Amino acid sequence: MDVSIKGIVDDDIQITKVVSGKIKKPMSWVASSFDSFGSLLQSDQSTPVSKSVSTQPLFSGKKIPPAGCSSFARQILPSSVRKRPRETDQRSVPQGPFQTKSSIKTAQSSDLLSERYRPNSKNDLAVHKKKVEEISDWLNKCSVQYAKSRVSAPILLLTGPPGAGKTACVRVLCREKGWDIQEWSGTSDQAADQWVSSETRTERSEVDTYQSQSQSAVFHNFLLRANKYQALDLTGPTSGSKNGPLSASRQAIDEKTVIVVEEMPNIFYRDSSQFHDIIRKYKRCGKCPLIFIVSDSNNNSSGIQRLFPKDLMHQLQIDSISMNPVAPTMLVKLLTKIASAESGKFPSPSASVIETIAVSSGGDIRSALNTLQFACGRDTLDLKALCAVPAKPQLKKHGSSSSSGARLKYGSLRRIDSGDKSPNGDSGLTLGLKDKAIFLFQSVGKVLHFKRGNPLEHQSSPCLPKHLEHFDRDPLLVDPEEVAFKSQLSSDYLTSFLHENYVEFLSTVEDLERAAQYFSDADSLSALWTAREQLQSYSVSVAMRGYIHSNSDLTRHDSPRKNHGWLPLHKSRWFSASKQASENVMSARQLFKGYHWEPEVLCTEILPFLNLSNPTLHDPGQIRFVQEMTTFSRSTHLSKTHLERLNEKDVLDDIQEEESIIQMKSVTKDDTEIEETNVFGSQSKIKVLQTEENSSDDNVQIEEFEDEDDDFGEFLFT
Amino acid sequence: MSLWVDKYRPTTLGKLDYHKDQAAHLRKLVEGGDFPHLLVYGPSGAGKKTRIMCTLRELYGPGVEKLRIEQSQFTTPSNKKLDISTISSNYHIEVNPSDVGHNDRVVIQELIKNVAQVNQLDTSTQKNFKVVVLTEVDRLSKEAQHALRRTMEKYMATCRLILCCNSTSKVIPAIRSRCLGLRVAAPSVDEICQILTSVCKKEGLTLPREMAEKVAEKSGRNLRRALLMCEACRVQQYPFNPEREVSEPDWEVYLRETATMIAQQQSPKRLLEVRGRLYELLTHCIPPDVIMKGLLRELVQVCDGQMKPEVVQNAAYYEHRLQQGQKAIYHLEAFVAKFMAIYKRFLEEGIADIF
Repeated sequence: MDVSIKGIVDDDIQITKVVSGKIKKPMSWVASSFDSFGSLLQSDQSTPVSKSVSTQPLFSGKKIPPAGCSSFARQILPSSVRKRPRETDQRSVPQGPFQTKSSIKTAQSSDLLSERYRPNSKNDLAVHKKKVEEISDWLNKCSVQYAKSRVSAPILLLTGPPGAGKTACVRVLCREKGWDIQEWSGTSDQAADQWVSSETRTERSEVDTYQSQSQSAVFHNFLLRANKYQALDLTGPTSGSKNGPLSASRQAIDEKTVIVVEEMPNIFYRDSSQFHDIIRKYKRCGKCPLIFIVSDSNNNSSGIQRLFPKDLMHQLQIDSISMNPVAPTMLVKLLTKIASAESGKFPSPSASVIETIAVSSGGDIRSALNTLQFACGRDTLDLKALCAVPAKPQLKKHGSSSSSGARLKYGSLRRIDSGDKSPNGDSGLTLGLKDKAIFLFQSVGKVLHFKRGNPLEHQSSPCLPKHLEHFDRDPLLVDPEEVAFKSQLSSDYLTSFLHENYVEFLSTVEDLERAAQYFSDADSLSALWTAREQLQSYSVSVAMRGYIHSNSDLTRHDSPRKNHGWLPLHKSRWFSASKQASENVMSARQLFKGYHWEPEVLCTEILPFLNLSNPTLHDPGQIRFVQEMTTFSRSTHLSKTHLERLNEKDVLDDIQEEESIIQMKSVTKDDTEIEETNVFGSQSKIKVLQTEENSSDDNVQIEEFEDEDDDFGEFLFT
Repeated sequence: MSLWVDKYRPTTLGKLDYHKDQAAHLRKLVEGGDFPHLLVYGPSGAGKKTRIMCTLRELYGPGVEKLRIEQSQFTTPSNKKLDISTISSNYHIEVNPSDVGHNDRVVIQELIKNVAQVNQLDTSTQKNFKVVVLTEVDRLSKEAQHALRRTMEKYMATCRLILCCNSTSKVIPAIRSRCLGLRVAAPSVDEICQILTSVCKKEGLTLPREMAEKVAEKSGRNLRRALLMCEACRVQQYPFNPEREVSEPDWEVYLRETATMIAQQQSPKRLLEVRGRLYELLTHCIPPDVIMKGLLRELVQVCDGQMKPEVVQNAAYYEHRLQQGQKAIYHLEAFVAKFMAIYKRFLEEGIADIF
């Protein structure tokens, strides 16, 4: 028997276990024993050859069933496609015709720490209280709305990084309020399976017909049938609800259903209009609250932008709550609690190990728990040493850890590491360290609010000769290249955002001159398209370091910060401006076809003089266009309408990205034009409000921004 | 109602008002039966297009004036659809490939191939080649120019190219050497005055001599602009009053205001305001090099004698960058910042000298 284990450390720790060899046979034959997959596992663990004893609790996520056991595959596959094991709510999701499924799940879920310590009450939640309240308020509002009028169903979009406790939060709150959860989770065939089994309880042939349906149709059915279900039950009583207390009470019971949708059918990522139609339809005739839970990420892969464009959110009054990563202090508390509860099974790890795990998880509870389990399990105790050794000195350096009240920061470890240049500094942290990506807002902010360190603490760099002394700067604490890398943006794009915002951070014209020069350099560096791909990273580096070096206010680590106040960051106007310009040229040529001038002549000579001489233009469109093209906004102060505020969670707009890609002349890029959208996370709203409140003491604000680095959770509520 | 510029455009080589000897050369060229590829260059408003159309008429007769506007579609290798409008007669096709931006290479290759693959139907009475007129060749990307050079040779048998641009400096030498260069110089102030007067006479108006001179002066020896200005003046006030200011395009006024703003104050805040205005100009389709030129023209006027070379040198430097780079705003802004720094230093020195 050979058992190979492959660990994939990404969002969750997913252990893919490929079972092959001898085990294949008994499984395919003894179908009746499948009611407990766990016991089967245990039985194979009992064989002396097996090395998988310790990994057994880790058994989670993807499983590849052995080939040749078709009935087994049928059962496992639906859950195998799921991203993470999720305890099915026994009340809402009725058991399938095959009892094996639920038993398999319980076998897995009790093994995983993250499943076993699933929060049961509000107090168990590691999510920040205010966020919990926010969601709870929304649910309350729903029930109030519900009682008053049943015009349209409230819809909530809950976003947040993976493992922030979104689902747990909703579950706990719903349970406490006595709401029933109808959950869409996983892929279509599973849902169809569930649905059929719950609704019609027919035999396999029915299931097959459902599986042949498109994902979107299944999703549509799920939503609308759930709704119809409600409607059928409700329309009867509603007519008589005024008089009959019985029907009223019945209604009250029926009301308490929430539909939770996670893991959207992936067809919608390609064609979001289908999804929009379904949502619109639901909004029109749906009754019960609908919650979408979507993990956000800083590229468009999660598709929030596409699935929930701003206009749709507005049109359908979709509320949006965005969660933050769990604060490290909370996470440490939680991990300590769980570790002590589990102390019987494995020796509880030291405080420093827990801190390392908490910090490296980047605010992802699930990942932290998985790491804890993995690192401290019986057989993997040797990992503990690996984990603890590099961690200890680092944390001590960082303000003697949490006991003294200093805040833990997610970003702190990496930075000190890179400062120390220790060859295996990262090695301990690779255990469960998430590859953290940062949002555009943060990356621009990090460079603009750069910090310098005390030169005494760092390796002394070679001194500059006398005549260059004015170029001497204290060592940087930010690594611009790392920021650029983590932002995962094209350097072109990042540079243009920096360019849009750098001016306000400089105070003298000399600094401006130099910084502007560097931006010009950066652009001409990446001018040659043949070498652009190689040079782009240098170009953004030149721009960032150029700005940082030109900022003569902050040459020393202790140089006083100028009282800038809160400076909002803006979106780069270049892309929209150039788009607008090309549109104008197009329409100019379209409207004045008869004149057949070159666009330059048309725009610089013909149109202005047409406006002056005002001859009878043939069509009103031409007149309007000429007027439009010849009026310039003359307001001396910056008109706010021109500047689009950059929000925290804004991601790259596809259309802009595309432009920069097209400019690179790289072929093979299909042009899916997506409207420019941005997310107005509730988080950024809070932030703006806060800054307005704090405008009296701006310095504090600035400090906070700089300290904030990665943990928004801490910042927002301190 | 068409503009005077269109209305009184000469249609034959014989009717041209200036550079008559050049017209005679062109006629001889056409009479020879064949002619090489042409590269017509010269400043804006000098009459390049007029001359090209006259030559075509000389070649093919009045049939060339029956123009039609067509939309052609091309597909790039990356499956992007490009729409471009072409103006064509039975004998020639005119296209401005720079309309499609950096995809111009595809247009150049496909279009010329399409045209050149079909021979002239009636070679006995007509020339056995067609003409492709490409405008704004200096705005073509380098790739497109290289594509052009191969295409030019390949289809020499069935088509001739007439390239039209403002300056040959942006045309690669390989293309320059394959064409007969033909420079159309800007008309002199006197010539413009004559034309203005004759046009006004045809319109039944009397144009005072001083007024004509003033317009010609103001137009910067750009005939098209002179005619447009004259027409605008006519609309605003008639009879012409030489005392009155000749009105200018709005964007020039706007640009001048921007330059004044730069000279007034040198601070980061002002730079932001200027940036807003630059964006405004860019969105109104004013080409960045025109903006740069306009800014320099205005800014040099406020400069002291010693400062001028430095400012102009920097302008040239950033204009060059502008051509190389992608994002014009970086370079425009860098120039503005540079000027601010130079000017501020100058002012501070001036104050130091006083005390």
